[in-house]
Amino acid sequence: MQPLEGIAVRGVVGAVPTRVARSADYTPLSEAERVKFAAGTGIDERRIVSAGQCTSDLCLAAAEMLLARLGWERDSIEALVLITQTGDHPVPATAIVLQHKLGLPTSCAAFDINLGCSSYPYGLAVVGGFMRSLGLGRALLLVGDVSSRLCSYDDKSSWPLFGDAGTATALERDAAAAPMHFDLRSDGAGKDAIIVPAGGLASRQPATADSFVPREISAGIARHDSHLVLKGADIFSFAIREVPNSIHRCAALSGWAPHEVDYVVLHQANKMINDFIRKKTGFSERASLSTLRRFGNTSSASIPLTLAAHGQQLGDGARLLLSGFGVGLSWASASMVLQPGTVLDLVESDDVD
Amino acid sequence: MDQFIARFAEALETEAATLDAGTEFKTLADWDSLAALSVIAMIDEYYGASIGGDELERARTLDDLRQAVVAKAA
Repeated sequence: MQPLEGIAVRGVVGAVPTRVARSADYTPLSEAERVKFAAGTGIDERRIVSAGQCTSDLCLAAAEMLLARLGWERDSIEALVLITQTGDHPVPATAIVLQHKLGLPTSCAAFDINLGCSSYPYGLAVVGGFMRSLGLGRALLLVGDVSSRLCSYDDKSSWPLFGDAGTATALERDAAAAPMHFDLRSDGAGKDAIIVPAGGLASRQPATADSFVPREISAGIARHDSHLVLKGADIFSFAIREVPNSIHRCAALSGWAPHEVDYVVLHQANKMINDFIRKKTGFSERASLSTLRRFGNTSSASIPLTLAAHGQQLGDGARLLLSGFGVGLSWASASMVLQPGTVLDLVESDDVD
Repeated sequence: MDQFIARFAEALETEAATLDAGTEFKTLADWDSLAALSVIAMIDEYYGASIGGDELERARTLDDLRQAVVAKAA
């Protein structure tokens, strides 16, 4: 893939709800299991939306803070793209709802993309390429999910992993910006590894009353067909097989040796997966940023949320390698250089708009 | 087989002496979903083979698992 030239990331803001769910309090696991879970996954706690709060609410809070911090006029934004798997409605696209809520002009192009853990590299490539090819000056990339609303509390294979978050990234055309490089991949043969089988009316498995009847799948795993299914062993196997190669390809396209990368930011899946990929690709623990302990697996939002949470640590000119992997199966890596003055920050919000 | 058992035991942080080719590994007290990830990682690291959930599901004994790894690695 060709490099993306002339596009600068000006800021990344993450938004999380205030409600905390602690691994230590997850009673479907025994006390000993909870300790083992937290040690193995690296997840101590997560943020969970309260009833009624949607992806758009979190992304709105992040975007409002980002626009205020950058001092951008709303009329200057020419595109708004939201990547989520938990939109507000099956129809219409949530990005269009957000165009209005953010007070952006009707001249702003807006659309959704359906991707999960691989969202961020894909989003940078799609929005950056869109801006370049159509000559747009400024755009917002919103990425977030409220995965807690998809998971069964009684499913120990999914519920204790996921946290909710929304993020906003500001992109601007800038001839002096360092190029970004991408490696974007997909393999639909693995579609069943992470899936919400039933739902909506137009789906492969339309929702019926039966779609909401919980069934015991195995010990500690009870859910219905509208809940998320996560086959952890299959995802782990896929991730350690494919992601190191993707990271190597992206680094090679960038002309960077592993020691020339300042930080690698992986999708925050769990500590075992991330440690394994990090070691296999030759990065030190210090060079790997994580938000697993505080926020868990935040699905599509995990990479931008992790960038936003390390504003104090990331300096101008930092060379970043980002890699997301999961549902689809879909996996993607991106390299970028942090521009001077990039806004990186977090906000807490329980607002429901 | 002894080497495979030793590596399996290391992945589970258990004693190799308590295991043999006929051990039905999913009945072990230390076996859980995180142990499964450790074993998948061990197999990737030492044998360059990619074992998924289905293969783990089908294997009953450690010998079954080793054979699945040999078939994958071939």
